[in-house]
Amino acid sequence: MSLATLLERPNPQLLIDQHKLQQCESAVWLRKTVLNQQTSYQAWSEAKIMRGLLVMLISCREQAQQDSDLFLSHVKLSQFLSPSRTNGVKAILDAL
Amino acid sequence: MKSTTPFNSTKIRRDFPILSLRVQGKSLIYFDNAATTQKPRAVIDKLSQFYKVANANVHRGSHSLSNTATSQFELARKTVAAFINAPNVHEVIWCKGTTEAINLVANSLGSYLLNNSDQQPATILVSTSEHHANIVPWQLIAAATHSQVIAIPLTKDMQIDQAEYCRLLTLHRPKIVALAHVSNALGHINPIRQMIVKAKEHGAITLIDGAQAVGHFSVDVQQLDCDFYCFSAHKCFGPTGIGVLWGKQALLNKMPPWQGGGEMIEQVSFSGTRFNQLPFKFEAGTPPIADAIALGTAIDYLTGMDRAAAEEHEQRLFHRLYNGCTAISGVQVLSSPDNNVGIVSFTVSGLHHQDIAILLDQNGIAVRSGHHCAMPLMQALGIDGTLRASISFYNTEQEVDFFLSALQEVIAVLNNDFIEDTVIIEDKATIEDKDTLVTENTQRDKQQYPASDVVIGT
Repeated sequence: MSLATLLERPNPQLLIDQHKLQQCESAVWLRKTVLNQQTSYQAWSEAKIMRGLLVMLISCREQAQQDSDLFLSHVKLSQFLSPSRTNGVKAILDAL
Repeated sequence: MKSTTPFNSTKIRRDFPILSLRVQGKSLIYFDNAATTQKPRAVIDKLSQFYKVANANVHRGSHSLSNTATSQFELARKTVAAFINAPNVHEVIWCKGTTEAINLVANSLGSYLLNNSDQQPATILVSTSEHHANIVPWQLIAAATHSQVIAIPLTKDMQIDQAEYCRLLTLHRPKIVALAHVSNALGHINPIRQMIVKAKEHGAITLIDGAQAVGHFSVDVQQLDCDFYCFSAHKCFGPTGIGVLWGKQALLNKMPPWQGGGEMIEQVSFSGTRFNQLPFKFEAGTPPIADAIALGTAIDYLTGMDRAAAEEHEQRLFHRLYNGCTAISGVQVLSSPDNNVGIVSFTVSGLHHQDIAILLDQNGIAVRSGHHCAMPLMQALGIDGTLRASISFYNTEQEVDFFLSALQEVIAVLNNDFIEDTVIIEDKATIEDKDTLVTENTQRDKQQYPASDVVIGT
């Protein structure tokens, strides 16, 4: 939850269906931009715990993408995530 | 007349092995009974016993085991018929659950009733608070038959608007009226008896989704005088994968089969196939035999207790829960305290229902968060979801009190943005590539990652 405070409510341009991820139990918006060889992400969720998870997944995306189940297990989040939420994590990682 | 056992909630809990489980190191408090109910030992044992000593396919009377299985299977059907006071046992049709029962009626009755040459599209009337299972099957058949599904609006207190219902009946003269006996998201018991009478006055066929009703109170389909009634076993202490469609014989006989296969035929040839009689006409393939038999056991268990006393106990718990929730600052309860089976659906100002559910789970409390498969209701409420605490007769006052206390704590935690989340911070150190991690220093992180942007150099 402390990680969630790193995200502040974005401007409404992000919060459109184009950036909304399916399969997430709570609404998640994610936009990836590549400019001058630098990748940046804008992300938001109405749920605080999901915002914290977004920060963690973006920050550790390489490890998480290698094996999301192992990653969630390493960070001891598996037990907090229902299967539908795990699907949401997979959807986020695919979008990263 | 069957004798009943006096209701004793402490004793009853011992019948449900799962209730002694610990979740997240805490005693389980199961307040997700509207999603599925727990199973008494008698049901669990019956499933196991069937596979140990009686497993065989049914209606293949060439050996003793098959005869035993068939007898138990058909006895369960009789038990269901008596449970809902169906006039004829062959009007009880096994389905996978309420969803399949509604799909069966929508497809079979729909293709028979809605395919007509009327210039005006036929109408199917549902309420805004229906579960998706009582909306989408009708939308599918409506699209296939150029019919329309019209929703009855709700009043401000989230009850079906009876004046609007009457107006829509007169305006559209619907061929089918499909209503939930009890709203799954709010727990409201709809006045279906009078709604059925009005539907009949306008010539409509009625289907009642009883999924949330049968686990809480007795249902009498003859007294209701609906045309179809359906429910799922797993919401009334039976197994998953089995449910019931009851329908009036005259209608069922007119309806074409929905699915084809074994069991549902009388004679098959390439020049033409004749179908079996009721109920087998609608039961293609090998049915979930053990589950049907165990549903019979669940019903025996339920009818073997003093249901009036169980209902009183549930109502006491519900009002304690309802009053407790409404007294918590920031909590908005959407369910009505009247005519409610025991569901408190609520939101909390400024907080997301999913966050609250996750933290309640850390206290061993199981509740549901989300739209509860009732998106049109959520749209009417102007929200994307609620928390839903739903009780059953095996819950206790102590559980309600613990829930209320935990809910207040969770709200306080979530309202405090600067709380240290030790789990996440400790775990970060276990990741090898620490440089890519967000560090504990919140201030530094805020400078590094302003607003919603997280910039990663590549």
